[in-house]
Amino acid sequence: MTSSSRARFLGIPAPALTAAGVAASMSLPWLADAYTVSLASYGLVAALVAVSAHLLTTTVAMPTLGQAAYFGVGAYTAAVLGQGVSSGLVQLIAAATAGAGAAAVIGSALVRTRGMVFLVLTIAVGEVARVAAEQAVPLTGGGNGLAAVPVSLPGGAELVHDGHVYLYILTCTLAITGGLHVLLRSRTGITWRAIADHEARMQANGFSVHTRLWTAYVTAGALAGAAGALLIAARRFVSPTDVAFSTSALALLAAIIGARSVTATVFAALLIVGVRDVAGAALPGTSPLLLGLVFVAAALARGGRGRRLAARVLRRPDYPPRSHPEGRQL
Amino acid sequence: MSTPLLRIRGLRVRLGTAQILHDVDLDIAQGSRHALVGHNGAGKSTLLHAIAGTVRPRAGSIMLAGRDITNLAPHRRARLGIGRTWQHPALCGSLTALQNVTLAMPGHDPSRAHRALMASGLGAHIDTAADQMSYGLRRRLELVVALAAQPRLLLLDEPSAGLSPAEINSLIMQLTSLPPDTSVVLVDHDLDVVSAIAHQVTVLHHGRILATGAAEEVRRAPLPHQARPRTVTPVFAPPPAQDRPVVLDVDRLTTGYHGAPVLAGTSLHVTAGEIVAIAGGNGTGKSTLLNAIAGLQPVQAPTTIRVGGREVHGLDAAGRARLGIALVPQDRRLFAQLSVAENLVVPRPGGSGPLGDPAALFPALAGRLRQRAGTLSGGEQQMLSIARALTTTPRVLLLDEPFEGLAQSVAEQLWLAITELARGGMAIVITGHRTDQMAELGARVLVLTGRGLSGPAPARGEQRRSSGPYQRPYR
Repeated sequence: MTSSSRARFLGIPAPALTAAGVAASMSLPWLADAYTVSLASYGLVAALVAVSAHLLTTTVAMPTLGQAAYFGVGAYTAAVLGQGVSSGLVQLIAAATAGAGAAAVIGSALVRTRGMVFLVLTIAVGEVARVAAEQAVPLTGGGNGLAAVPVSLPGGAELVHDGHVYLYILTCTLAITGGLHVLLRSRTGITWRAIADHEARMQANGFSVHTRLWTAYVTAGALAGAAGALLIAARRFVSPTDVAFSTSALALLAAIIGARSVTATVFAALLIVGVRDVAGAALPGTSPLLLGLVFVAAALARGGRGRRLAARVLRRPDYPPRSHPEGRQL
Repeated sequence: MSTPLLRIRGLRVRLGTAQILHDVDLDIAQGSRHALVGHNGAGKSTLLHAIAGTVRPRAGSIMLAGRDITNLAPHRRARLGIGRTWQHPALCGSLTALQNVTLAMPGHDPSRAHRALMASGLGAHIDTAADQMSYGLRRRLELVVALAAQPRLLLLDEPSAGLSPAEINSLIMQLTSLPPDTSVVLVDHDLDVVSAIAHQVTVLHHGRILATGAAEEVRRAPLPHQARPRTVTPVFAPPPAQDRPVVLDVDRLTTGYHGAPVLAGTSLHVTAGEIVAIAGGNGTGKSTLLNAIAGLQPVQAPTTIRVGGREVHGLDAAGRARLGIALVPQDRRLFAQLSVAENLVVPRPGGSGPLGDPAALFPALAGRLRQRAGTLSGGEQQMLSIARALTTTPRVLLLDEPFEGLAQSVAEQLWLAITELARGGMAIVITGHRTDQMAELGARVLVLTGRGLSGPAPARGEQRRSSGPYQRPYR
């Protein structure tokens, strides 16, 4: 039995909690004002970027700070494509494909590195993407950004109302994260985890580790690219600011807070966006400070007493005890 | 004469600044059971690594069934039929035993993996995550993983290390019943295992082959003194019990993992100058006991642990180390990126330990002070782990399977050092599977079972014959 199937939060089984969360999320447009709904839309976009970082950081143990690059590739692809094709689904598929394609090219070199070298190279990739977005003015609009038209559903209906856009993004996010959830429990996902556990053993079992890691990197690129398409649906605008380092950093932070759970990563991203945009707006100028506090709290929670407290709250039965000699920490 | 399955010619391997293998030539015939023997640091494991592809040679060639595999990646060699184990069990820790074996099975068939686990006696642990298993179980599981792909060349790096006598007998039966066309290259310091399995033996010394051939021929061959260990059996005579104060006093130690008890009310009292050897099957909690005393394993009420009369409750591992508890863990836990010298100064800068220069205890380390710990051989790493523990001048020394992976002469040297430390008043606790011999040499033996510690003699049939707490010399 896996840990996730037995995971509980405050005594409530995780599947029941997830179902309640989905139901509550679906009802948000009828309960909240337009600003909150719009913010939630962006939170879901950020959550998908975080999930792509989760795949690399947690599943294959290769922490990344470059997912904003593929997010940008997806967003610009959707925006450019949107000038001729308004179908949200087409844009989503095209953005995911573009993100995957870019990751396929870059990942072929990156997956041969590990640890700090990999992390630094992903930062470089993110920065190159941001500079490219600023410099390729005819394609991206440079620093002024690129505006897009509203996306439409397969039936042709345009998504203009904030509530409709939110429900579209929520549906896409649920479908994509659900698919990832299944993928991570498939043999492919188990192989990724196994490589993170013991790369040399997997090589000795006949697995091409580079190929498997490349597959994970491309999948993460596709996820971030899809998030880019959802950004266009949510804001109808993309600029180099969206491709900035801070996007990758927040995705990594959410992945760290989310630990081994995709669902927890999604909630972590929503929390971060909430702290940054809601609490930051209520207390002007404090947004970086608040995010910094979230970073510190996450680091403490991952490393010591907070982590054990979280384990008890989450009631994860197989969480390594404080000083289990074989306990594995990311 | 037919082409050998494996042909190695002129193999040279260099790790960092150290030349490990020098122009090694070796043939392994199809179906051969071949042992590599030699001192710690002789290059045995490095040779296995070079064959498996995890170490790149600087020169030479490796041919498998007539195909040059010298520059082939490890996974491609695995697909050509090379299976292997490591000196320490190499498993995917977060995956269950079944998942570990399934990933190694051709076609990734879980039902075949299930059958393999049942056949190997691991049926009760199918759904247990590998990192929740005891060391011995992990080693057994690793062998199942290595055999899952039905390799035609199986490389085994100290497969008997950490196994109980009964498990070693089972291992020997398992390896002797392999298909006749499966070739095995074996590195092991247990000469009983080598003798039972290997038909061919190669003696390595400082990265060069001294002798190779049929096992009996090599046994009779005249070898240089350094490659032939001495046969001394030092006997330790502890001082009278009434003269010794209790240094380590463990009372009703209770601990476990995830709510499952491992030790329930275990008590242990060790006096100054005493050597206590703890026997017990794999999974009975020997390592857990040492980890709990050292502060690396949370304990539950009503546990009390006292060192020199002082209660250690509330002290973490660092606090207990300052109080005089030193642990040499089974998996060594060295600072792999630091040099040997740096590893020795980290616990206590400027400290020299009760026996003077710790490196002097093991001459093999003296010449490698600048070498990174991660590039040492397994036996040398074991020596360094012990030497590092001694730099803190402990009152209580906890040694978890200290003889594992050590050549006989080094193990003998270590035993001498342990007795010397005990004479100096140190309380020493050793876990291991060869405690009957330690009893003969002056140690008090206790057996750890599900009911706690009892003594003095282990259950009959649990121990195998051997000439010391370590292994018989190869001669």
